[in-house]
Amino acid sequence: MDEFDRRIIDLIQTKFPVDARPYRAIGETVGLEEGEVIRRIQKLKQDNIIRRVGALVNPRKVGYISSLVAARVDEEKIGAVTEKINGYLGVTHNYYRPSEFNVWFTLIAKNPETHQRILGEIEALEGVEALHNLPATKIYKLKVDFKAGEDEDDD
Amino acid sequence: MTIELTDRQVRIIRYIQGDLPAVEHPYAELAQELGISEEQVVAEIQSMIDNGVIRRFGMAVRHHNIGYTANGMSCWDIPAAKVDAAAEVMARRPEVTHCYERPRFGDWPFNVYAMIHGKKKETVMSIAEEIAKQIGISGYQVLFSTKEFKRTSMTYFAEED
Repeated sequence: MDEFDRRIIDLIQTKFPVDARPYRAIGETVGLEEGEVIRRIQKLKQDNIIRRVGALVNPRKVGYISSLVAARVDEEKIGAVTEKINGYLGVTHNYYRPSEFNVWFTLIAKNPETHQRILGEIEALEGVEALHNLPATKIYKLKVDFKAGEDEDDD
Repeated sequence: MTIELTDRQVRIIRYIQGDLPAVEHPYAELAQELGISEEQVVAEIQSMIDNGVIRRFGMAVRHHNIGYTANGMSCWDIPAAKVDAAAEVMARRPEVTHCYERPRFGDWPFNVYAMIHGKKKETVMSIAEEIAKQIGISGYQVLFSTKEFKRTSMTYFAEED
C-alpha cells in the first residue's frame, strides 16, 4: 500500500463520489487516471484491505427493527449455539466477549413480529441461559464514516 | 420516520448494498435494467443519502488491517437524571464512535453504552477511567470482543422476504 492507495482510502471512506463515473472522480482528486484508480481498488479488495464499496442502509428509515442482543451462553455449548445464531441473515455481527453475558450480536428484521420471533427461537436454544434485547432507546453518537472500523449495523 | 421507497429505489438499494464493481460505469447495467439513465440512478442515490435512507455510502475497510486493534464496549450504570450529561461527555471524545442509551435489566444493570477505540486495550481502559472520573460514575465495565463469530452486511429488501 503506497501513498496513492492511502489517499484513495482516506478520500472514499468518508465520501465516495456519487457520480456515474466515481473512479474517474476519485482520480481527478488524487491525481491518477481512472483506470489506475480502478486497478488499485481491485488490488485493495484482493488484499482484503477493502471489504466492499457500497451503501449502508439505515434500518430505521426503511421500517426495519435493529437491536443489540446480549446472551449468556453455557461455555460448553458456545460452538453449537453461535452456529445457529449465525444462521440468521438478520444477525450481522456476532462476537464473544468474556463476561457474564458472553455472546453479543446484532439482530435486524423487517418488522417487530419477525424480530420477536427470531429472538424467541434463539432464546429457546439449548445452552442459552439468558438473553436480553437491548435496542437503542436514545442515540447520542453514531459515527457516519468508515474510519472507525466498527462501522456497519452497530445498533 | 419511516420512508416508503419506490420500486425503483428498492431495486437500486438491492444493487448498491452489495459491492460496487470497480469498473468505469458501475451503474450502467442497473440503469439499463431499470430503463433509466445512469445520471438518474445517481440522482436517486443522492436523494436517498439526503433523506437518510442511506446512512453511509463508500467503502468498508477491514479495520484490523489499518491499525485499530482494540475496541472496547464500555457499559455504564448511570442514574436516569444524569444520563444526558454523561453521554454528552462520552460523545465529545473522538475515541468514542458510538454512544447509546439502552434498557437495563436486573442481572445486567447498564444503561449507557459507548464504543471506545484505541490501538491497545490499555489505552481503551484508561480512556474509560478518564470518562469515569469526569462523570463521577464508578459502576461500569469494559467488554472486549476476543472472538468474531460473524461479521456481514445486512441484506435489505431481500427478494425472498
